[in-house]
Amino acid sequence: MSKIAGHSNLLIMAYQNLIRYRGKSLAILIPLITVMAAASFMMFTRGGFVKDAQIAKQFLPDVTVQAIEAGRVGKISLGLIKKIEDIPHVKKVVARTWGYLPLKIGSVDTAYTLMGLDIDNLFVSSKLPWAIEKGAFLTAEDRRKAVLGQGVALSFNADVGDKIQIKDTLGNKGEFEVVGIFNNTVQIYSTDLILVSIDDARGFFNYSKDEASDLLVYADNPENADLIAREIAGRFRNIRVLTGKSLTDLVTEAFGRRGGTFQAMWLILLVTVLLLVWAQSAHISVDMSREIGILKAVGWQTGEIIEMKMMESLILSIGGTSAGILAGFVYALMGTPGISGYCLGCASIYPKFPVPVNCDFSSVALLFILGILPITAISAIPAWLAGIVDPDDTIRR
Amino acid sequence: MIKFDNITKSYRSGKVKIKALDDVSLAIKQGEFVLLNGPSGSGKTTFLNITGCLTRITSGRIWLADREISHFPDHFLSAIRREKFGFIFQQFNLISGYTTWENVSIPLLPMGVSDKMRKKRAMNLLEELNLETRADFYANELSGGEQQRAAVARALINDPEIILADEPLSNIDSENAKTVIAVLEKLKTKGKTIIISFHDSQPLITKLIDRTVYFDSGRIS
Repeated sequence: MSKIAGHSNLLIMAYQNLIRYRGKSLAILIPLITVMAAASFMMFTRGGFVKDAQIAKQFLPDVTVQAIEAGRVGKISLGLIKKIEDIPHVKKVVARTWGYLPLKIGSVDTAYTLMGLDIDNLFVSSKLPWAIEKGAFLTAEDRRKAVLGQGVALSFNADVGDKIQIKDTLGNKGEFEVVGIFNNTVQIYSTDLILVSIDDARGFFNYSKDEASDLLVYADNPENADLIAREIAGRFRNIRVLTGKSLTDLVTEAFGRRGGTFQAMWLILLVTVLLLVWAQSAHISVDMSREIGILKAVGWQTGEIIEMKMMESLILSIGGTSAGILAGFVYALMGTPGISGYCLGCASIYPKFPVPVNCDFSSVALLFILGILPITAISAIPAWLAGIVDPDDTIRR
Repeated sequence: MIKFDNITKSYRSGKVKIKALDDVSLAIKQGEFVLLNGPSGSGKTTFLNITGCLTRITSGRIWLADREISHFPDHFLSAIRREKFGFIFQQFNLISGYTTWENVSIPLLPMGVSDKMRKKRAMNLLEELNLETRADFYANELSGGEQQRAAVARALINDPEIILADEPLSNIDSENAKTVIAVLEKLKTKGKTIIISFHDSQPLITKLIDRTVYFDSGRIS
């Protein structure tokens, strides 16, 4: 009889044991699936936010410069453009004007962003066409035309070619023709966005020709962003300097904190499951201990008993973890119903904004390790403890 | 041959030390049918457990076929149990979640014997013990007598050289006792060593016994 056949028999018996003692199996399996589903949806959605932020980073300037007036962000003078362009490693400086506008959807007060860009000088325009799902990006000549984020398009029920009416809290009004709609690759940034020419934005927000909300600074090499930021901060007073990295870090950290809350909850749940597995395995002291004693008495080696018990745990934990990951993935794809507002932290802006999902090999591998290793180890210990005692002592217990 | 030299076995029950076996020396020849007799608590079961490597001695020495096994590590003792001994427990010790034939064939499982072969060998023994109709019953669905016969079948599934039986007739009626005795008789004719314990006299097996060893208060009297 081959050793492989022996292992194969132990595997079959382990599987049959799980069926035989199905009550005990389910008592471990159901909490395990729940915990792994929670862990996986959290990991996949956090991964989605991080991925979105990384993609969006391509469209962000290396450095953003804002003016500070009385401790708040104010209008910045375009006279600074030339001075900043004189700083070593600065390739281009582009003005941007933007602001928030109120929007009422049903009984919910929400907000969206009207942003005006200097299309003539836009440095990243070559990357933008693939961020557009429908229609086209703005051209330098476009006036009273807009590209909408998907959330705005849904809220206005607007499509390419439609006209939308907007107004701010001061009563400023404007009508824009929709020429394009952003796709969902950069939703964190684009979903609540109405992108127009900088002249239109200036007109809407009452900015003069030599004013903007902020200046977008592009470096000859992104590695030099910190250097440029330090130089700008050192040369000019009453300004705030933000690097592209700090902005993406802000987004990922914000969602990371929410993820952290779930992570803490998940850890508590995991510990609960492990205690449950331990309690079930420690049940060994009554029935299972006697069973192990009998198996040893009829000639089983301690190693064979531990192998069978570990196989039981492996089957259970692989099955539970796989089912949990799948459930978590489906829940994430469905938009984390019930907690999407908390996940996004901006539900008041656009309820239609879906939670981004990213499922990659490393996340799945990590989930499998977290789901399988502790449970297998924790259930093997009581079997080993019962297995190393003389069979007579184990049976008598 | 199995040889015991001055073996003792002590248990600790709370603060009290109990000497279950006290300076026992005995040699059992191959093919011998030995009856261990004596009142309850006299040390018969402890002696059988020590013989079957189910528990370790406190002091003394044990030889099995000229090899001293007194201080063998656990995995060697498991191998000896698997290859040499078949143990019939007084309390049957069947696993309740398994069927009768699964219980009988369980010693063969880690040895890599196929499911089909295990069932075949188990069924042969169950037929011999008039238990074939209960093959697919779970252990907890069997009567005491049926469980005892299933335990006998399990002890024989490995075709062991030495059979150890602790009060094997205590839970079965006279008809089934005859079946078990017939099996023991067959084993004796095959040259198997049989060590069996009873707390009272068993006229049904008198003709099979080569030697009777009397235990009293942990000693051979």
